[in-house]
Amino acid sequence: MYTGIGLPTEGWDAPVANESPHIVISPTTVIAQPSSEIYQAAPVVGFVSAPSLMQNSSFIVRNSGSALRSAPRVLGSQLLNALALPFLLLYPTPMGGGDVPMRPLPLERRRNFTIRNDSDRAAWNRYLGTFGSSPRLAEQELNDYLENSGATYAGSRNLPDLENPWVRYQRFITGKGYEEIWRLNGRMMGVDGTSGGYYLEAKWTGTDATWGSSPYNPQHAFYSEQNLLDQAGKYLLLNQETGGKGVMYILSSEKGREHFEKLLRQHFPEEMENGTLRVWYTPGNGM
Amino acid sequence: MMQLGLVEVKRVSGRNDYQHECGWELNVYHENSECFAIEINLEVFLETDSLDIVAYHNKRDEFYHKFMYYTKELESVIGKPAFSDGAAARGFPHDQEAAWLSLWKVQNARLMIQQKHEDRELPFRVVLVIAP
Repeated sequence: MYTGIGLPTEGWDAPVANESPHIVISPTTVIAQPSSEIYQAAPVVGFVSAPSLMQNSSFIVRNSGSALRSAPRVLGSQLLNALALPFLLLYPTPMGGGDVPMRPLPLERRRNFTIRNDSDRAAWNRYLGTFGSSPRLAEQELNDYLENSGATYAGSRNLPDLENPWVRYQRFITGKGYEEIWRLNGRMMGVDGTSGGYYLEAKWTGTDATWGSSPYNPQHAFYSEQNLLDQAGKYLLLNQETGGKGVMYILSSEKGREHFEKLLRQHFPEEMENGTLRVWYTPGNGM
Repeated sequence: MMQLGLVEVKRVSGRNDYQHECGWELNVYHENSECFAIEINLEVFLETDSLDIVAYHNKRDEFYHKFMYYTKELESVIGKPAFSDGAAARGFPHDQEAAWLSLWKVQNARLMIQQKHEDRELPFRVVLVIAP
């Protein structure tokens, strides 16, 4: 597996063949290898072919604002100066092509970007696919994607002005009359609360006496296993993105807890086993 | 069920669904061969999680008015309910789950109009419930 600056170490599917001769850019060195054909117009992340280097007199180091002149040794020193960049995106430009103005990404976002999931990979592949025909559009789209990816706290929203049991239970569990709103990969997500570094999801599943008519009971007409799993997946991703300790599901009935324990253990066995995902029963007595 | 014009359309553990020839659906919930609830959804709004706070409160009000409408409709046929109030009110049936509930006692069952909304991401519903 290639290593380099900000290079994905898993799921790498950019069109660079492992066996192709190339220059590997690492944080400390640039190694030129004799070689052949890769990349004429396509962008390169961390790799560029030796012939390209020799045949094209200028390269743009993305976001560095400078055009780099030919020889690998020079390129290498420039790269070392530019190591603050998250990943080095090099592509050949025509002779004397000069710099291409680009909107820089927030440094932290670029530095942390790796291909970790299918949507990252899809965005990256879109970028590669579009680049040859419309570099600026491709850049813009990738920037937009990156700016919208990850997790950012977007504020809070008050719990509804209702006396419904779920509202009272959520307030009882979190101790708050509001819930948090996070922007996760560009989409809003509600979080019931946080405590001691854990994200809390309070689920009113009735009491054991009313569990039979709860929509969280798999026999119910409005039960949606997919929605529950999607929600758990989002919580786990949020936890991962923000470095949280884990996610706690707190249920109001023992029968509800048994169901969630079984469901989540079936679909998230590792997270349940290592304690990142936990399921508790707390009755709503006195809520 | 056949005599009532109902045809079974789905059977899962603990629930049988029937469809009336007019199109509406009836869900029968049971445990250990005993029916504990029959539900007919009169009004349903599914996309609750997409509502902003204003739209959410408007939807809450809309479903409260629907609940009142169906309560009055039933009242005009079978008389005043024995109970009609919110979940926090004294006398709310402990084995039921609803935000608002009107209850009529009939011969061997309870007939109820319930306005349900069991979590933010779950639908707003007005439901006719028949229970022992």
